[in-house]
Amino acid sequence: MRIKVFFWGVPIGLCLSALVWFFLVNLQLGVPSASSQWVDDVVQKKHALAQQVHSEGKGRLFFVGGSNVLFGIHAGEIENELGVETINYGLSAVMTSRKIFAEAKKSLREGDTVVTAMEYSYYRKPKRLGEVELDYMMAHDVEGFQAMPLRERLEAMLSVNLVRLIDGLWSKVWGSDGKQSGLYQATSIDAHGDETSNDITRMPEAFKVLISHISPIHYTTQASEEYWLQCKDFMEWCKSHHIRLFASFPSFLYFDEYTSPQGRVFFEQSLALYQSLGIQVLGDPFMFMYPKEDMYDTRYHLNSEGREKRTKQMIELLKRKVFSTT
Amino acid sequence: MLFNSVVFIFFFLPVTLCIYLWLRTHDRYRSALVWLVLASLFFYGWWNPQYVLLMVLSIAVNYSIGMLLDKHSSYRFFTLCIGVLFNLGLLAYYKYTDFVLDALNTYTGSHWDLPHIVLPLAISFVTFQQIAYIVDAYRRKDRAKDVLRYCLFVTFFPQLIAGPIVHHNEMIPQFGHRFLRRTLWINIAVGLSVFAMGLFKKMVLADGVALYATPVFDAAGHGYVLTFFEAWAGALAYTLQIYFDFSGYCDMAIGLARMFGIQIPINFASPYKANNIIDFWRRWHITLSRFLRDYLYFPLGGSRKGNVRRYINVLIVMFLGGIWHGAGWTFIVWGLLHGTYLAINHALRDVLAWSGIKFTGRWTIYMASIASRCLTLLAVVVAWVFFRAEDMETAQSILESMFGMHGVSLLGSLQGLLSAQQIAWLETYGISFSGMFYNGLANFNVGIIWIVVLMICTQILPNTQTIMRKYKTGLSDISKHVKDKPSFIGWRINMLSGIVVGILFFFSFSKWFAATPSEFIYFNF
Repeated sequence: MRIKVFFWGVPIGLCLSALVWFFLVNLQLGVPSASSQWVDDVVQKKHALAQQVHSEGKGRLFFVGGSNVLFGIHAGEIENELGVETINYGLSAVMTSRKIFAEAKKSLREGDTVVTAMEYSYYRKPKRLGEVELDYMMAHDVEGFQAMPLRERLEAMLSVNLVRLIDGLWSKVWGSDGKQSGLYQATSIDAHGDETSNDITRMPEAFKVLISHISPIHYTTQASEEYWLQCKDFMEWCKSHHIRLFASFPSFLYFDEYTSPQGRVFFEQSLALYQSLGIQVLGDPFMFMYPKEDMYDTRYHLNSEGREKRTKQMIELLKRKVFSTT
Repeated sequence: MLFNSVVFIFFFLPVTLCIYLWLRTHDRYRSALVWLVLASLFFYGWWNPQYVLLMVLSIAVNYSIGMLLDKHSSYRFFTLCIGVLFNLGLLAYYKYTDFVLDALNTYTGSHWDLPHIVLPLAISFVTFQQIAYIVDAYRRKDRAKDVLRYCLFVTFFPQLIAGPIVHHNEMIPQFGHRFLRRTLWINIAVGLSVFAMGLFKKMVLADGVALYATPVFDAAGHGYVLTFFEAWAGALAYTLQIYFDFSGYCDMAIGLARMFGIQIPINFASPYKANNIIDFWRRWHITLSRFLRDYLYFPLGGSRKGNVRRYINVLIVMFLGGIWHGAGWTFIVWGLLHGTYLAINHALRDVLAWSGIKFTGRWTIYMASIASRCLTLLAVVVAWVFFRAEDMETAQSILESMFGMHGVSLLGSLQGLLSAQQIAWLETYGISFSGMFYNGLANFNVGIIWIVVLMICTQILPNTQTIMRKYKTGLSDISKHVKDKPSFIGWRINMLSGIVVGILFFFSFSKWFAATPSEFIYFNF
């Protein structure tokens, strides 16, 4: 008899644990976490900057994307060159594309021009939500979390690590003190929304070693329907609000594989997808691929020298295709 | 197929177990053994079907040699040599060809092409098991008379891939045991409990602390100069990773075998509680130590030819033990380090015995045992750095950082407590205040908690065999050397323990959603 009840105990223990776990994860949704605080700080700072730039009668120029834009566009220089008030609205790729577009919509106004440069990771369907993406979503994008299909949401809840859960529950009970952890801080963003910490003269040697060991990505999973629908939705929203939309491409660490006949397929398809949606494109993916010497600490982040190169390229494109008649 | 994968836990194991038990409960004893052999070969072939033929060939050759050795013939020794050479030859070809050719190219300037031979899984374990079998057959100790039981002894899947190194006279008789229906459910319950504990140790503890070891060793391998604290954190994290990885695997192997009503040897017995290195090797990979002792150390003369010869024998045995673990200079150094530690330990014992010095007094003995345990652990941690590092340069770099040769960087906030003069004075000794973990390799604020908690667990918590002592989970003829005190925590098969097993499974299964299944460290051997 005791042996039989042992076997009943196993599924009971499994189910009880699952219920308690899902309950605890749900309990701490919306509570800010130290590890994702910097992202929210960046978002709030960009909102505030956009509010401060009034640009009476003239539209503003926004660059929207993940941290490739944050690190890789010098909005201040563009503003000086083109005479258009420019805001670097680069956020972070830990946010979903839906969230980035939603945040951009909060700041854009009629008459503005927006150039998107979203990271390539959005273009393909991910296998599973990453740890940092989940961390941000649970803390600052509960709506997006709850909008996920049930199976994906359950998988995401199972993937929450214990330390993160304890952190969330602790903050729920004792309050979050707004502390941040991790390498990035929103305090290094200037008045145009540009990141200033990627100065090549102050770049740690460790980052050069890091960059030298990054290997190329092979994009093989299918295209993310969700992302391209979001692009279409964003395009239609811009049209209805009399906002000009252009798509561009993220700064990216170059590898020879990307220009090989097989490797270039993904990038050419991405260009074609934007064009098929009727979105005007500035440049092409290969134009914004840079050597290791121009990179900062990830395959998307440029250092100050790389940023200058990309900014010059962007200024030329903007003069030719966006502001040529104004 | 990994023990911690979905396909193993939800498909292979239930199907194999159900069919095996059905056959045994319907008195189809030989069919049950055939089924287990086929299932074990399927399990082995899941990784690479081609190497099943190699496994079958190895079994056929060794069994035939065993049969030949049974005859009274003047060629028995020659036959034994052929058998041993065949086994070692296979191992040498698959495991060491690339290493030897690479070393020749490096040190003699030759230009051999490296064939990049794929190492068959389990070859190291299967080789040693079968060498032990044919040596014992030569010594006329219990040759297997049934080819089917011999096949199962070699291929039995719970111990096939990464041990324990089972002895034929431990396993083969068990395959002929009368099947007792009344123990069927208790075996499954006990086996499931031990398996759940092992799975939890591997998937939650080992893989959890690995997050703080892997980035450190990878960074050092890529040329980073680690801080003092990063190097220690990485080394200690790996020390704990391999502990829980191997402990978890051993538990899973014992649990799986027990579900089939088979007991396999205990292979792991709280090795970080060892007070000296001799004791460590009685607790870590017990069956490997047993094999090396019985089939290498004793034939070399053991301790019968004087102390100096004993120390040399120990060095030789551990050198070969190191090479067995991997084809690389780091494994050789790891083995030689442990050989040196053992030789020093033996020498120290000899000196104390000769001098008549004894520690007396409860407090003195207690402090001496704490000190010797710390020293043993330190020696083991240093050796693990070689074991884990990709190459000698990486190991050297990490050890240099660990022993402060690249300076020691403390918390920046501590600067405020010191005067400029004091700071300058400290800097002359290589002490700076740039932060303990300034390379940003991992979140060591959490990592330190993991390391401290797990290290405490290794010191104070009872091991699985102690917890399950009522049910005698593994063969205990080896564990008599291990003097762990019985714990007040004793497992009982009831509803509560079932719930605990369910909870352990929940936390283990949830890891499938966090990352792809991780391999066991000992799979590489």
